[in-house]
Amino acid sequence: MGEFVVFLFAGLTVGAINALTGLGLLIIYNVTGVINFAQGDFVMLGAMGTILFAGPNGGPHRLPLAVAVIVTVAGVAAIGGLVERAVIHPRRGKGPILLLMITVGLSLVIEGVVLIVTSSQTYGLRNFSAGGPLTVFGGEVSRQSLWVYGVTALVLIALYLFFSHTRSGKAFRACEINPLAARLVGIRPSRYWTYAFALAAGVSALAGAAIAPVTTATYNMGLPLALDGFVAWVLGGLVSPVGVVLGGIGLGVAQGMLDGYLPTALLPYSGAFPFLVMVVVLVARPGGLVQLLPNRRV
Amino acid sequence: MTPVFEAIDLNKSFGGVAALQAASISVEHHRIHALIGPNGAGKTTFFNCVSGHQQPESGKVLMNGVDVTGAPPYRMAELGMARTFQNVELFPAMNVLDNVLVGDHLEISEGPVAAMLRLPRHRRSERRARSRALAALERTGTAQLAHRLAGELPYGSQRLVEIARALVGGPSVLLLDEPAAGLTAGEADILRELLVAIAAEGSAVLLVEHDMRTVMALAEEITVLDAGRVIAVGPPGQIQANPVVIAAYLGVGAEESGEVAGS
Amino acid sequence: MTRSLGAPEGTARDGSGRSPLKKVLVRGADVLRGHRDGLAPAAGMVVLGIGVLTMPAWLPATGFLTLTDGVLAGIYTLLGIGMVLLLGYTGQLALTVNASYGIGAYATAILTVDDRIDPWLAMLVGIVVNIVVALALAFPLFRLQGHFLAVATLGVALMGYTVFEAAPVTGGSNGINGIPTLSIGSFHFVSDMAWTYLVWVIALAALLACRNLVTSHFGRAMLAVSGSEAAAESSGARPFWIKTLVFVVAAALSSVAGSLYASYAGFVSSSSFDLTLTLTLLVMVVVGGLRSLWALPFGVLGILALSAALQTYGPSVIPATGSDIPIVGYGVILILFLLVVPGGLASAGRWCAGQAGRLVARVAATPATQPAGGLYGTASSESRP
Repeated sequence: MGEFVVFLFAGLTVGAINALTGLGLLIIYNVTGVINFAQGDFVMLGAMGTILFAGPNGGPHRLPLAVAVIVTVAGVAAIGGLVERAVIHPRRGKGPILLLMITVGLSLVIEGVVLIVTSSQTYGLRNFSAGGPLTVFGGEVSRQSLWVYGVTALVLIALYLFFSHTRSGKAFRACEINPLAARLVGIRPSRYWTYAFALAAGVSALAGAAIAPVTTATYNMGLPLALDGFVAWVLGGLVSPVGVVLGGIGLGVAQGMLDGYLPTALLPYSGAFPFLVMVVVLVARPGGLVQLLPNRRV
Repeated sequence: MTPVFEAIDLNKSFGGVAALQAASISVEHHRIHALIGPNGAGKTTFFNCVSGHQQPESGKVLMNGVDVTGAPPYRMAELGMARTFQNVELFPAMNVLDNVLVGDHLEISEGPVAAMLRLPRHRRSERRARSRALAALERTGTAQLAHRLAGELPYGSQRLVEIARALVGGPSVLLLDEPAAGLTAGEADILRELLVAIAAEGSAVLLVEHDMRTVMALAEEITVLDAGRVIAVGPPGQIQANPVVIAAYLGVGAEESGEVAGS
Repeated sequence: MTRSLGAPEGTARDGSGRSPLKKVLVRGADVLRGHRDGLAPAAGMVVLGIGVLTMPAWLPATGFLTLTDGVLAGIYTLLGIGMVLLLGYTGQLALTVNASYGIGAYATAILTVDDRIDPWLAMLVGIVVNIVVALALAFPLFRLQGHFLAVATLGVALMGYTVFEAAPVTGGSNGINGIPTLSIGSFHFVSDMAWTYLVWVIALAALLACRNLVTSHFGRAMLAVSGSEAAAESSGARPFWIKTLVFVVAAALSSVAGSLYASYAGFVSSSSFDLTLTLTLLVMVVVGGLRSLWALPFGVLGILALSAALQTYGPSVIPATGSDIPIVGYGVILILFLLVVPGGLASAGRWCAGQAGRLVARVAATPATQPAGGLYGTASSESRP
């Protein structure tokens, strides 16, 4: 039992990270139709930024953590909006593949800049709250993992409230549903491309800050995160935030169980599992696994 | 005489709205047949269902009496059907000649290895295809555009090039979706002469067209579609006088029949 | 492509009454401006051939490139051809190149280590395995459109990489050592110079064959599929088969590249087949020009040179960045090309040649010989250098 719970919590933590990256992908995709290859790099920027402002683990503290997180999230959101203006905007309407390739370039540039600044070193971050791991259902879970779950829940609720209860959130949805009609009522869809990138970058940066104490941060941590985010996003059916969160968590837990219970001979292959699931889902059920749920209007 | 092409009782709906309800048509060799109807009557859906781009929910499509219902577009092309699209689907990054050569794809039978090695027989069939393509461009009056990029052409020229692409393989059934839309008067004249000539050579021509003058001048048979149903079939004279057709076009109770009579 | 259309008879005759020098100039101007299609492949072959023959002289002279880069450039060119055909001509971003490259390399490595079978035969086995795998993958994958194909193929690529890393038979990251080199008769390919020539003979032959393919009805169908699948299909071209054909050709070429790499290096490990390879190739192909086979070697060499220069001189400018430093350049180059020169070096070269041609034509003082429907400025399915 205790072992199972440990695997479960490990899977939940990975799953929450998947979900947060997947949410970023979803926000951008829903508004712009772009698949953002650089989404994981926004997570990396969030982690690196927080470490930069709060001071790396073991070193002297700089800003209080809360302030560092807020400054970082705002900064990364601004970077997201700026890069959209700079490199995505000029090629709008030139087809999804070209835009995808531009985001590949974007990912390489972000990694490159961070590589130069950090000299490819790995940095850690102090835990958000002090104290040892808690024991739940006979298994241990670190306090930082709880923070990661909390941030995921918070982001999901905030996005839900934003999209369904605020004017600008509704304008976002109008752009994704019908850009022409949105323009007729005075919403400029092109501006929402920038907002979508900023929002997605901000969400990912928050995720990065929350996971930094668990995963540590290096300049090239983004791509693997983005890949798992893709899987979460595909599992969740591409358009539903709840679906993406469920997809991400399901994937993380399944991965955690595989890593825990797979026979040793097969263990090296477990890394292929998420991608196998993703390819099968894309080919067999393009609407994602969420469509299997009885009420799919989630 | 068996019709070269027949569609029987096609049904198709989108999200519960019936786009086609038991719509039928029968087209013969040497004939120009027009499909008309008010906006939203289902003409383009009808085209898509017979060319394989959409699947009818029920009904039959026959080519030369053989059931080909549900065949994909390339199969219909193999059976001798060619078509154009309402919104002109040229390949913008290719030049005009290459666009037309795509329409001749099935006439070049050599495999990829022959193409890679540029075997003499492949060169010969490319050369023959090239002269057929130029001839098709000649017939549509666009030969002088052969080396222009298709995406750069004015709309009317694009339509004519698309017709050349449909024509080049020598189809037995030619479906044209609003071929005269956007053409200049001169281009429309070329088009009319061309369609008469194609029919004279034996092909069946089926066109969707809004320009009533073109329809009445060319078509030997007209099928009128309204709200997905065929409401009348007959030669132009009968159709112009048909009260059901007039009502469909002008709304019930309207008196001006001049619109349909076309002038 | 027949020459009569690209260069109407009138073009040549215009210079007939003039001095031989002027005739040459007029002809030269026509070639430069792209009015003489038929000469393009010959010219491309000559330029590339001379460039390759002289590689032992000019590669080391750069100070940061070696003949090893010459061999690698040939291998990357073989890999890049598949990407040009798939992405540039057919409009399909399929990212499985690292997997097919790996299958080829491991086929050679596993089958030839300890001299089990002849390396050429092993290369053939790799090709066959790759073709079978490509066919099996094509059926599910090409049901997907646009960037979903990219995401799904990325998944397949990563699965492939995981298998290369995990399977006992590949040796994972420890790799396989002691792979014998290739030989023809009693001649063993040992020196870098011999390898450069061998790899480039194969690469240029593949370029020529694929150039023939893209100027045939298959090439037109490929461009048609990337332009409008609906119209391609109603013209009788089957998008699924066209995509599958190109996918299989790409896999076979990658397989050859992988086998050559394994025999050349004598050692393979999983790290050669990760996503970095795919991304590097993407940058090379974009730099050369997505729709140009002839410009591909220039994109490949350009990026190899950039990478080598950054690794040679980078650390003195930006300290402590290690061997990862080339990615800094890759990202910037990729974005710059996509935004500013989406046609790559090919379109830049074509533009320069056109300007030069205009200049030569003016020097020859002939009235501008724009043939009816002149080819200049159009992009036919022909790719001109």
